[in-house]
Amino acid sequence: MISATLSLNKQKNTDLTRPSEKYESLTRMAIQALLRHRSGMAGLIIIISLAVLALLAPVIAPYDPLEMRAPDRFQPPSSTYFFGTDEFGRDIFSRILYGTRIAFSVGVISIGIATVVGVATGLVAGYAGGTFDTIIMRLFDTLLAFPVILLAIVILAMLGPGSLNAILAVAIVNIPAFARLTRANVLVEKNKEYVEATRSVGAKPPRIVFRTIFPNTVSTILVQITVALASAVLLESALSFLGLGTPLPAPSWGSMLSVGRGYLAFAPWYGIFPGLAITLMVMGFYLLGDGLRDALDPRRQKLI
Amino acid sequence: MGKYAIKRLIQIIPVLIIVSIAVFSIIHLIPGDPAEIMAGSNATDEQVAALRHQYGLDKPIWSQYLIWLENVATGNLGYSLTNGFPVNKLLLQRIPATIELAIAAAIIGTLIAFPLGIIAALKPGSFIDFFSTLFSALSFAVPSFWLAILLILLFSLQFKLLPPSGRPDFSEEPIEHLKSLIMPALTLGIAMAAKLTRYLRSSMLDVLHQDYVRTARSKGLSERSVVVRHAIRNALIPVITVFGLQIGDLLSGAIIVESIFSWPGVGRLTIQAISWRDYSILQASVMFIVFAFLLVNLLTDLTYGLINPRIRYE
Amino acid sequence: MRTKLLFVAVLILVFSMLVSCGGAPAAPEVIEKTVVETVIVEKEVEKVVEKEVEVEKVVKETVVVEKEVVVEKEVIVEVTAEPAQAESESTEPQLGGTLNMSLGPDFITFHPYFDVSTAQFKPIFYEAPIRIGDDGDFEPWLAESWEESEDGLSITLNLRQGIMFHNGREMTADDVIWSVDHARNTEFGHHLSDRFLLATGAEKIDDYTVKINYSEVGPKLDGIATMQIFPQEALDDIETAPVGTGPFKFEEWVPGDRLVGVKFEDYWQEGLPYLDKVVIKPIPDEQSRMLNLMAGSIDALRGVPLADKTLLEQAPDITVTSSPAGFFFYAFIMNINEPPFDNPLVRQAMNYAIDREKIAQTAFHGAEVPVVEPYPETSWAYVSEFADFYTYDPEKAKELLAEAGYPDGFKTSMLIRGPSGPYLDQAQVYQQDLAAIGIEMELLPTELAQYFPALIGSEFAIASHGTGDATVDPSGLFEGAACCRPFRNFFGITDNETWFPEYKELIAKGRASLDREERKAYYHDALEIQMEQGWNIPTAWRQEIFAYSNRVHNFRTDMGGNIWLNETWLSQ
Repeated sequence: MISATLSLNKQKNTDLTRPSEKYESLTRMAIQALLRHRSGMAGLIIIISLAVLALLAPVIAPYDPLEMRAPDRFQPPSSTYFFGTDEFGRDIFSRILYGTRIAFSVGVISIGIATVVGVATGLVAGYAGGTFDTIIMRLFDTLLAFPVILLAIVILAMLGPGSLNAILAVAIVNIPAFARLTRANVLVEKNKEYVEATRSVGAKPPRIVFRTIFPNTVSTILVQITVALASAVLLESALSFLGLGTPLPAPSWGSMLSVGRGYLAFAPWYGIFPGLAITLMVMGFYLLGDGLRDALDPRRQKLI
Repeated sequence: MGKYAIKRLIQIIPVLIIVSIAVFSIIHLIPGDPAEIMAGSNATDEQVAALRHQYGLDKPIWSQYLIWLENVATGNLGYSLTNGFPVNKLLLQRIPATIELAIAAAIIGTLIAFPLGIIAALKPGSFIDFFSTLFSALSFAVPSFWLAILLILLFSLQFKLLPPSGRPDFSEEPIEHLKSLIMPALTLGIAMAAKLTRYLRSSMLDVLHQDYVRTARSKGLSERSVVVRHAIRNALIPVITVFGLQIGDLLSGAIIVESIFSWPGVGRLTIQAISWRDYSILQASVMFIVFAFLLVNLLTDLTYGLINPRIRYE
Repeated sequence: MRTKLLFVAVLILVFSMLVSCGGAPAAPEVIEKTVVETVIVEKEVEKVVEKEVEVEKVVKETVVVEKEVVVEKEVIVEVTAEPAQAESESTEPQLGGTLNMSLGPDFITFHPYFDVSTAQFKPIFYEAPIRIGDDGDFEPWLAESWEESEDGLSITLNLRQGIMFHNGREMTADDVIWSVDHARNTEFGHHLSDRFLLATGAEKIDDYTVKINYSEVGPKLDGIATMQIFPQEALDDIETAPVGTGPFKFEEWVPGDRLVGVKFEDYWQEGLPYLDKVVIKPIPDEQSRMLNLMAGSIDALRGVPLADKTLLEQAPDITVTSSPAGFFFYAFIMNINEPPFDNPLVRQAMNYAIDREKIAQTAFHGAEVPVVEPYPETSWAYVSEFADFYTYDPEKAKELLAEAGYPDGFKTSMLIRGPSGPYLDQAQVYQQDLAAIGIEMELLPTELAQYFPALIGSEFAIASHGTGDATVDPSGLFEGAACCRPFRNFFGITDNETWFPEYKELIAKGRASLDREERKAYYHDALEIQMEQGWNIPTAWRQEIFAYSNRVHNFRTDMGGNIWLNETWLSQ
C-alpha cells in the first residue's frame, strides 16, 4: 500500500510540474478503471489491509515478537496464541504481524532503489544512445542471462548475508528490467512530435529527458513497480529461507518458514502461517499490478 | 532458417566467453576459501597452505582462468577441488535429472495452463474465468519452497503416498522413480502454470477480437473450428515467448526445489558448490545454467518463426 | 553378593576379550549363551556403578596401577551395554540384505585422513590398528596388541596376520609404515598430520610388527586409532574411491545420489559382515531424512532433528541412539583482544549470564546435556568440584559488568557458525540472556566459507562455535581449543596475558608426563585457569544422534559418531 500510494502521488506531482488537462483526465480515468477492476481492487484492499496491520503491529500484536517463553514452546494455535508458538515459545501471530513491516520495507526500499537506478540509466541510455547505451545494455543482458535467484545468491555470497545486503541484492537483480523497459519507452517517445517541439525550443537534454519524456513513461513503470514488488517479496523470502536474508531472530517470514520446516512433523502451524502471509502479500501486489496494467492501458480498459 | 539457427548459435559463443570471465571473476571474488573450509577450525597455517597449493589457488587469478579455458577447449571441465571428482562426469550425472524435472514440470504446467487459460478467455466473466484469475494469482504468489513443504506435509507425512525426497534409479525402481518425480515437478509446474494461464488468457482475448476471427465466424465456421484452427494458433505465438522465459524460470526455481527434495540435479549441485566454494564445480554448473538459458531463448525464437512464418530471419 | 558380581564381571570380561582378541567373531551360539548371563546382570547395574566409584577412590588414595581401573571400567560398560544387545540379539543374525542409510549431506572426500563432516562412514571401508571401544578406551583391532616403550618415545604394534585389502593384497608392516609417513606428511593438508607431529617415522621389526618412533613424549593412541590403513597404490584415487581393510568393498559413488559398498568376501573377521550391501544416500535436509526413515525408504540415519527426537523415540518400530557426550561441545567463545572482552571480569560476567538449562531446553529441545566443565564425567581428567564453577546468575553478571566499568552494558555482535542450525538457535538464547544484563548483541549468521576465515583471522568479538578435539586423551581439549599445538589461536591469547605462560607450561607438562596422576594434577590447574579466564564457555555437549528401524540389529556407533557395520544384520 505504502508504495502504491507513494507511486500514485509521484504521478500526481509530475502532473503538477507539467500541468496538462488531458493528462489529468487520463489519470482520473485510470483510477476509475482500477476502481472498477475487480481483481485489481481486491489486490489494493489486500495491500491496504496489510499496510494497516504493519503500521498498527505494536497495537494489535498480543505479545512481543522476540520474547521467549520456554514453558510455552510449540503450542498449537489457540485463543491464547492465534497461530501457535515456535521453538522458543515466541508468539507466531505477533511475529508474522511484525514480519509484515520487514516484508514491506524490504520490498519498498529494494524496488525503490531499482526504480531510481534502473529508470535513470534507461532514460540516459535510451536518449543518448551510442557507446554508453551499448555497454550498459550488454551489461544488463549479461545479468539477465542468470537466473534471478542464482544472481541474488551470488551477490549475497559476495556481500555477506544480512537484511541490508538482501535488500541490495533484490534491488540489483531488478535494475535491468526497469532499465530495459524505460529505454524501450524512451526510444518510442524520443522521436515523437512533442519531444521534437521541446527540443526546437532549445531545451537541454536533461530537461527533455526528465521533464518531457519521463512523465510519459510513468504509467508503464508504475505497473512494473507493482509487479516487481510482488517478486521482491518472494525473492527476499526465498533468500531468508536459504538463510541469506534477514537474520533471525528478526521475524522475517522467509526465515520463519525455513526454521518452521524443521518442525513439520509435529508443529505444522509453524511452517504454514508464514507461508500464508507471504502468499497473501505477493498476491496483493500481483493483483494490483494486473489491475493497474489494465487500467493504464486504454486499449485494455474496454475489456474490463 | 537453418543458416539463421547456425548464425545465432555462433553468436552465443562470445556471450559465453564473456559470461565465463564474469562468472570466474565473480566466484573468485566471493569471500571465503575452499581450503579454509576443508581445513576447519583446528588447522595449522601449513595445512591450509598445502590445500591451497593442491587446489591451484596460489596462482594468480588470470592464470587460473587461462588454465581453466585451456582445459575447457579440450573438453575437460576440471576436477572438484575438494575430492578431485571429474566435473565432466559429475555434470553428466546431474544434467539428466534437471532436464527430466524441467520437462515434467513443463508438461504439468502446460496441462494446467492450456485448458484453464483458453476456457477463461472463451467465457470471460464466468466462474472459470474468475477461477483462472484466482489460480494464476495464487500460484504466482505461493513461494515454491512453501508449496514444496505443504506437498510433503500432505503426501508424505499425512497420506504417506510419495517419498519426501530422493531420486531412485529408473532402471532399478521405475515406479519409485516416477513417484519421487511427482512432487518436485508439481511444485515447479504450478509456478509455471501461473504466468502461462495469465498470458494465454489475455492472448486469446486479443485474438478473439481480431478481424480474421470475426471473418471466420461470419463464414459460418463452427465455433470449435474457429477456436481451434484460428484463435489458438495465433494466440500461441506470443505465448511461446512466455513459455521460453518460463523454462528459464524453471531452471531458476529448480535451484531451490532440488535442494528441498534432495533431487540430484544441477541446481542442488550449484548451491552445494557455493557453500563449499568448490570453484571448478561452481563454474561449470553456473555456465551450464546460463548456457541452457541462452539455448532455450534461441529455441524459442526459432519456434516462434516456425509457428509464424511471417517473421523473416535476417 | 560381591563374589557373585565379580564372577559375572570376569565372565563378561573374558567373553569380551574373546570377541575383540580372538580374531573370529563370536558365533551366534555363543551370543545366545551370554544373553542368559546378562539378564541376571541387568538388575544389578546400579550397584556395579557404585562399586566403580569406590574403586576410583581407592585409586586416588593409594595410586594403584592404572590397568586395574581400566579393567573395572570395562566391566561397567559391558554390563550396561549388554542388556540392549540382549534385546536385539534375541534371534540369530541373518545373512544378506541391503542396508540403506543416510548420513546427511553428500560426501566431501573419502580420504580417511580428512575429518570432514561426513567422515562417519570411515569404518565401513577403513580400519585402523586400534579402535575406541564402547567404554571410551582403546581396544585392539588390526593390531592384536601394542606396547609403549618405557621412555614413552615409541610404541610397537603387533599386527594381525592375514588381513586383506580390498584390492586383494595382504596388509603388512610396510603398509603401516607407509601410513605413518603419509599421516605425518603435512603437504597434503589433511587433519591427521597434527596428531603425528611428534612422530619421526616407523620401522619394521618383522612383517607383522611395527615400531613407531616419536621425538617427544606425548599421547599417541588417539592418533593411531584414527590412522586408517590403506594401500599406497590406491592413494591417487582415494578421495573418490575408498580402498581399505573394512568389512565392505567400495562399488560405486554417484555424487549427490548414492555410495554403494558390497560385502568384502576376504574380510579378516571370519563370517562377517552379515550384510550383502550398504547404500548410503545423501539427504542433506534433516526433516526429509527423518521422513524417509519413517516411510521406510532408508533403514538408518545419522542426525535426527533434535526437536523430533522424543517423538521418534516413541515410534514403535524405530530405535534412537546417540553417541556418548564428551567428545565435542557447543561453545560461546570470546576474542580476548577485542574490548570489552579483554577484561576478564566481562568474560566471567558472560559465563554467569548464560542460562545453559534454558539453552538445552529450548535450542536443543532437551536433547543435549548442558555442560560447564569441558570434560565428561567418564574422563579421568574430570574434576568434580568444577562441575558448577559457573551457575546461571544474572545478578552476579551485572555486578561483574559494573565492576568492569560497564554498568549499563554495551553493544556487540556475535559471529555464528552457519547461516542456520544449532549455532544460530542457541545464539538466539544468548541474545535474550545478554539483553537481560543490558548487553545488546547483534547476530551474524555466517556460512562456513566465510565463518572459518573470520574465526581464524580473529575478526570477531564473540562467536557461537563448537569445539573439543574428539580425543580420548584429555590433552586434545587444551591443544585444540587454545594452545599449544601449532593451531591458529583465534582467541587472541598472547604471552602478554600474565596467566598464559603458566597455562601453556602446565599443558606442556601434562602432555610430556607418563604418569596419569601427575597429568591429572597438571590438567586440573590448567583447567582452573581456563575457567577463571572464561574465554571459552561450554554450553552443551553435542552428540551424534542416530535412528534406525527395528529391522536393523547391532548398529554400532562409537564416541566419534563413526558407524561400524561389521556385525550389523537385517531381519528379513
